[in-house]
Amino acid sequence: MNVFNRTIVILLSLVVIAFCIIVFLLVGGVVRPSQVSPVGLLLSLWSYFAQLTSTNATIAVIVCALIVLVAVIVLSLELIMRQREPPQFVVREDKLGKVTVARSSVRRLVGYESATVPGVIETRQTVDKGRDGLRVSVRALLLPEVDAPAVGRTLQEKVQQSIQGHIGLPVAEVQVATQLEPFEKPRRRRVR
Amino acid sequence: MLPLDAGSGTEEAQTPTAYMVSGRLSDTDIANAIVHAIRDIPGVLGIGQGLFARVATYGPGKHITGIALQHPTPGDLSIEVHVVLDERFLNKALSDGSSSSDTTPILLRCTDQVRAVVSQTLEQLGLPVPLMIDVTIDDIR
Repeated sequence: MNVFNRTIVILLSLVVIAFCIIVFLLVGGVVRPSQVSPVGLLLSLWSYFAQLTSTNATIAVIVCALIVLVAVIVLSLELIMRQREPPQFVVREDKLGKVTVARSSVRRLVGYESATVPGVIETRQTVDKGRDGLRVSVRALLLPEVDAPAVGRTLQEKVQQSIQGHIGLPVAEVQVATQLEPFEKPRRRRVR
Repeated sequence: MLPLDAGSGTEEAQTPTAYMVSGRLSDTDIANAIVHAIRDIPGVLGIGQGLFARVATYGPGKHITGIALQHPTPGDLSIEVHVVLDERFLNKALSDGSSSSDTTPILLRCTDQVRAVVSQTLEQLGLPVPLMIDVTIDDIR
């Protein structure tokens, strides 16, 4: 969904929640229809809810409670998705348009570069966007006989040079963690 | 006729020169010509599919993946291009270019070339220069 659709969904969720709260208040007798429609807007609708019989009022409350629950879930999901980092980085934006690169591409590039460092067997890496540039984190599985601090420094330099040379994005930080134990493989569930 | 493997299955592609005589061009024709032109750029391994959802130009009974054409106003054109770059080419270009004075990152050199080729292709088709050409690197393999 694009930004417009997301905004519409958020607004709709808020409207639905507000509507249901008003229904709760009317059914419970907390407010009168005229209080929630100062200019007479939706007065007949509010009056209908205020005059429900006890059985119908219970049904209305249950239905509204379910609707509120769904709206809150949708709203939470939308807000969580908004906070999530975009899956791409803008490399350049000029009058002719934008040049973007997928986060997975940068991650892959870091992986390729790390694999070329002598003594490195395998790596796992993450790339995030910080305020002053990319923040790269590399976990490297090394051969037991290599000098881990030296390999770590080489990795840092190579990853930084590679990202800046290939993509042109500033690199704020390259964190390298070395280990000798193999990475955990994802477990496969046996199908019977 | 050349087989088209830009994601449209059974469809066949025309060479770009064929469009010149076909009268009014559809969006899929334009996208098809762009795909053919981009594929010849060194360092471009292929056409991407899009990051969120499949990016494509749709026409009657066919679609061209990796290129999205928009018409902000009648007669104007904005183009979104998704490409996959060759990691070996990038590394080679980086090592070759380390001695040269050009400090432009390799990826931007590639995307500049993509933009230039798109503009050139549209010019060959007799279309105006696009307002925007957004280029996305979907993958580096």
